[in-house]
Parts: sequence; structure tokens; C-alpha cells
Amino acid sequence: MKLTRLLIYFLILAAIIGGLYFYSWVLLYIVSSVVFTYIFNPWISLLERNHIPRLLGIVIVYLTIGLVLALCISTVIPVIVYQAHNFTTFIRGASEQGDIHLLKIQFFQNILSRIDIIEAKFPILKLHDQFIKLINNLNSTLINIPGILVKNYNKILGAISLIAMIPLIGFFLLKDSIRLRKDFLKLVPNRYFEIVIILMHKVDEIVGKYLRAMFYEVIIVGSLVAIVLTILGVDYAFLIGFLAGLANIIPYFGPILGVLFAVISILISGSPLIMIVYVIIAMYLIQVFDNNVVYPIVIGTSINMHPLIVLLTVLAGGWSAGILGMLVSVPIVYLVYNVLKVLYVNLKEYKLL
Amino acid sequence: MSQISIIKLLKALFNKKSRLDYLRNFNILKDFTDYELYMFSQILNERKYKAGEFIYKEQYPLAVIYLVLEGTVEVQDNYHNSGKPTIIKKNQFLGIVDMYNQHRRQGEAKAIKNSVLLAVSYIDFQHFVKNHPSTGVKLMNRVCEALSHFIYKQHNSETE
Repeated sequence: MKLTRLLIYFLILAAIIGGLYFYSWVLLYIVSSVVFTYIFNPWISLLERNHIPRLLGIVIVYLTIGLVLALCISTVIPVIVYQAHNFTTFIRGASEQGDIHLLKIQFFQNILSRIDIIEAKFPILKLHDQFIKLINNLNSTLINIPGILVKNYNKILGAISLIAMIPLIGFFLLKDSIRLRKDFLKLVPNRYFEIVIILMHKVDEIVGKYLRAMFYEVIIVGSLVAIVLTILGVDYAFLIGFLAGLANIIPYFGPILGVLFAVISILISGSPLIMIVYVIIAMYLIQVFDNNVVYPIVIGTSINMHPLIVLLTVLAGGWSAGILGMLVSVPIVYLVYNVLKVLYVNLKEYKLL
Repeated sequence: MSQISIIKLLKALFNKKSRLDYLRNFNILKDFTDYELYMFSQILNERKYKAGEFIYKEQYPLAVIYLVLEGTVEVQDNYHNSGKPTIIKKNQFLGIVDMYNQHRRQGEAKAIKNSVLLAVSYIDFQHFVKNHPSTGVKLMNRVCEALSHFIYKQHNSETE
């Protein structure tokens, strides 16, 4: 009897390991679809509470998303693509003309004239040559961006297939989320049922709130930045809005990155330097609005992570997975830390630790 | 002939009792409409307990309410009944009164026969009341009724 039980446990374990290995190739699809489900499930639940069947609710939400996306594709995205194209053309032009093009910008001319004054006093420093070398390096780095995009076309295609699959997998997760939850709980032995149901709720709450907060924040902050910068007359306003919205995922440092994008745009477009002050004030006001209005409404509390830990996490994320790693490292660390904390506290309450 | 059978079929379809009608046997759910029962059933989890198996133990956090669908459960409440066991039978529930009274289980509950229980987490219960205000009022009315019965019974047993 004992041997039979052991054999069954072994088979179950083998099936789990085999399953995990088999599905590991689509893990990213599953994780992305779960994120999608977390974001849109409250909308469907809201419709269901208003006597709209779940399936119809999903169709309504999908149609709404489709409509918004179509609107974005026809209005906002062409502007972003146009601005990105302009920016790349500008950089390409800069590279074709060597250092001359970038030095036409007033900002770099000012720096160079100051450098020349210093070099006249201390010729041994060779600051002029160093600065020109720096500009050349900057040119060659920026010019590589389109090249990177072309070289990694297979990754881009992969990303497009991922984006296409998310709503499909998300549909089934949204439709059967309650059944999946119940089926999972059926597998839990009676002894652990109460603790598992508490943990599921708490994890669900932490993850759901955080992901929804990020989603709404990216949209709201990105839109506000784009609108405000357009009003201020900053070039590439929509592109900066899009990037600033994404960067806002990183607490503390994300907003600084947003300002940095805007400042770079002002510098390379040769707009008056006073614009930088206006942009900093505008971005600061957007952050005040985000922290005091958007965030408390969407998530309720703030992310309680020390700035140093955030900085180290972003650096580690950057080292391990590049720009994407920098963006997702803080949310992942925050979620893992909080889930472990909840797990520890509750296991202790049930005297399982 | 075929028309009659179609009409019969339609009649049967429209007159058939809700799949969840059995839930109305529980006092707290008896005023619910079919749709309200359907929504409530989404937060119910069926659990099977063998005779003698513990459902919860003393000092566990108060996290789950149980509705007894089949079988019998014995509750040893050291706080209210000074250790006297209470027998909870089919279509009765356990844990609701304690939810508004305590933070931890003051006793333990075990199945004395093979039992089937419907478990609702307290968080789900609260969310349900909050998200379905009109149904929530019906539910809370019944809970208040149960609470008043309990207090009345307590008071009587103390004066005796």
C-alpha cells in the first residue's frame, strides 16, 4: 500500500516536472496572459455584477479594447512612429556628417567654446579632442539603434506573436478563472485548505493591485506627459510621453528618466534652454498629481521599497536582461518579496512553521 | 404532435428548478434569486470530510465559513459554550456568528459522519456583500437573524 502510494506520488512529481519542462517554452506567454487577466478581470466582474453574462462581458471588454487600440493605431501611434522616425533620421544625419552635425546644436557649441577657453589655459588636458571623441562615440552608439532593430528582427517577430497570443490565452483565463480557482482548491488537502484560500486571496490582492496600478499609471502618466510637452512645444512629445510612461514603472528613478528624455529632446532640437526649466516644473507637477491622485485611487498605498534597493534592483535587472530587465526587475522583486512575507506570516499563524 | 412536444420541452425548460436551488435550503440564502445564487455559488468551494476528520482547530485564524451540505459536524466551542459540543446538521452553517465576534477560532470542529461542506472564505463573503449591495442586504438580514437567535439562546442558557 505504502509502495503504491509512493509510486503514485513519484508519477505525479514526474508529470509535474515533465509538464513544467514541456510548457517552459510558452511560460512567457502564460505569464503575460496572466498579467492581462489580472488587469481586465475587474471589468468583467463589474459587468457580471450588473447581470451581464461572463462570456458576453468578455466580448464587450475585448471590443472596447479593440476600439481603443484602433483609435490609438489611427491617431497616436502614427505620431509616435513619425517622431521616432524623425529622431532616427536626425541621428543618421549626424553620423553621416561625423561630429559636425551634432556640433551645430547650440548646446554643444556652448560647451565646446567653454572647453576651448579652459584648454587655452591648460593645453595639456587636451579637452577639445576628448570632447570631439565623446561626440563621435555618442553618434556611433545612437546610429547603431536602427541596426540593432534590423539584426533582431526574429525577436521582434516573436514579440508580435506574443502580443497576438496574449488576448487568446487571456480569453480562456478570463472565461474560466472561477472554475480554474475552484479546481485548484479541490486539489488542496483539507488540512491546508484554509491557509491556501487565505494565501490565494492575499497574493491575488497584492499582485492584482500592483499590476493594475502599473497599467493605469503608465497610461495616465504617459498621456499627461505627451499632452503637457505638446503644449510646451517640445519636439517628440508623444515619443517622450510613451517612454516616460514606461519608465514610470521604475519607482524613484523612472520619473527622472522621463525628464531626461525631454531634456535631451530640447537640447538636440536647439530650443531655448529656459524650456528645460519649464519641462522640469511640468514633469514635477505630473509626478505630484500621480503620487497624490492617481496612485492612491488605483492602488491605495505606495510601494514601500528603499531607493537604494530600487537602484540596485534596476542595475541588476539591466545587467541580466537589458532594458526589459530594468523595467520589470522592480515589480518582480516587489511582488516576490511581498508574496514571501504573506506566506511566512500566514504559515506561522497556522502553526505550519 | 411535434408542436406539442416542443411546447412541452419549452415549458419544462422554463419551469425547471434552478440547478442551485438546493442552496435555498440554507436559511441565509433562502431569499436569493437564481442569479444571486449563481453569483454566490462562484465563491463556494465543496469540501469532503471523513468521519472524525478535523475541519478547523482552536486558535486558527477565522478565515472560512462552512455550510453543511451533507453529514454532521461537531463544534467544540470553548468560548461560548464552555466546552459543550454543538451539533451542526445538514443545511446549517458554522463560523458566521464568530466572524463578527472573534479573530481566532475559539474551539474546534470535526465531522462526526462523512460530510460535504461548502466553504466560503470570509474575504469572499465580505467582497460579495460589498459588491452586490441589494443581495448583501438580504444576506446580512439573515445573518443578523442568526446572530440574534444565538444571543437569545446564550442569554437563556445563562439565566437557566
